Amino acid sequence: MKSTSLKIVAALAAACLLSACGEKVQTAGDYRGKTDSKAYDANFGGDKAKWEAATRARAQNQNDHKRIP
Amino acid sequence: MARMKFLCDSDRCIECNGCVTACKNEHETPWGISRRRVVTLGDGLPGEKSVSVACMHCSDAPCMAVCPTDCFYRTDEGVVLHDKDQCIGCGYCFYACPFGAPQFPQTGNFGMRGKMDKCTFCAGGPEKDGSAEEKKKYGNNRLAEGKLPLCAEMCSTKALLAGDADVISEIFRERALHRGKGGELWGWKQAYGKDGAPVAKAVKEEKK
Repeated sequence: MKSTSLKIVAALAAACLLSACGEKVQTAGDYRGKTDSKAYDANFGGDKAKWEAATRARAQNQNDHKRIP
Repeated sequence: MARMKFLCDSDRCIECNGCVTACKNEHETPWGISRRRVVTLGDGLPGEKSVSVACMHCSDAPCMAVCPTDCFYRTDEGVVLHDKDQCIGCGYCFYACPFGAPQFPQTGNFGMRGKMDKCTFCAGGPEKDGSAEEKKKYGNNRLAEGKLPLCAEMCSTKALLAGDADVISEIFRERALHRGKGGELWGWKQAYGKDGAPVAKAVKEEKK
């Protein structure tokens, strides 16, 4: 009797613990269009750091506390 | 790594629609397509608040999740773009988007929909950067030129900020420090005011 109830408890515990294992992945599918080049390829010769520095400096034009000291 | 985002300061936006015009002019979008718009809460009442809205380039974009042709992709900079050659104009992305960003040209009779068009963060699309084809399909690619979206760059009050999330949030933080407030940028109270605020009062009176 005791072993049967233990088995039932173990089965229930396993069912609870493993319930997420059967779930399907819900992420978006893989992109199926054309591949795009990197933003820094065309005008920055593939230099990512240079492009990032340029956009970061450009963003500071929006900071009027910097523009008007 | 840069993560491009928009941030609109509703305390500064004066509903001039300059961002809308700049975007339309820069990308020469067809009649009926507006990639950006200004939403005003409590319009005409004292304390009204405006915010400029376009594609927010979500980190977990619902449009990407629902697209049956998987035409969306995210660039290394976190910009959500799509391939128009892959798009079938079904409109699922429009229903999924909480910001109403996807736009559809009415290309024929009986409300026939064309391929989806939306804000590209001025980053073009999957065509050769700066090519005529890219310009025709997606508009100008300013990001490849080291520039930022024109809507934000030309904003007269600098309410709309665009760029690397770390940089623009730092600009906003500095602004909020000077202003002496800032926690109220977003949220219910900012939009609708406290109980005694004019907008909330007007809503109450309207209900009566």
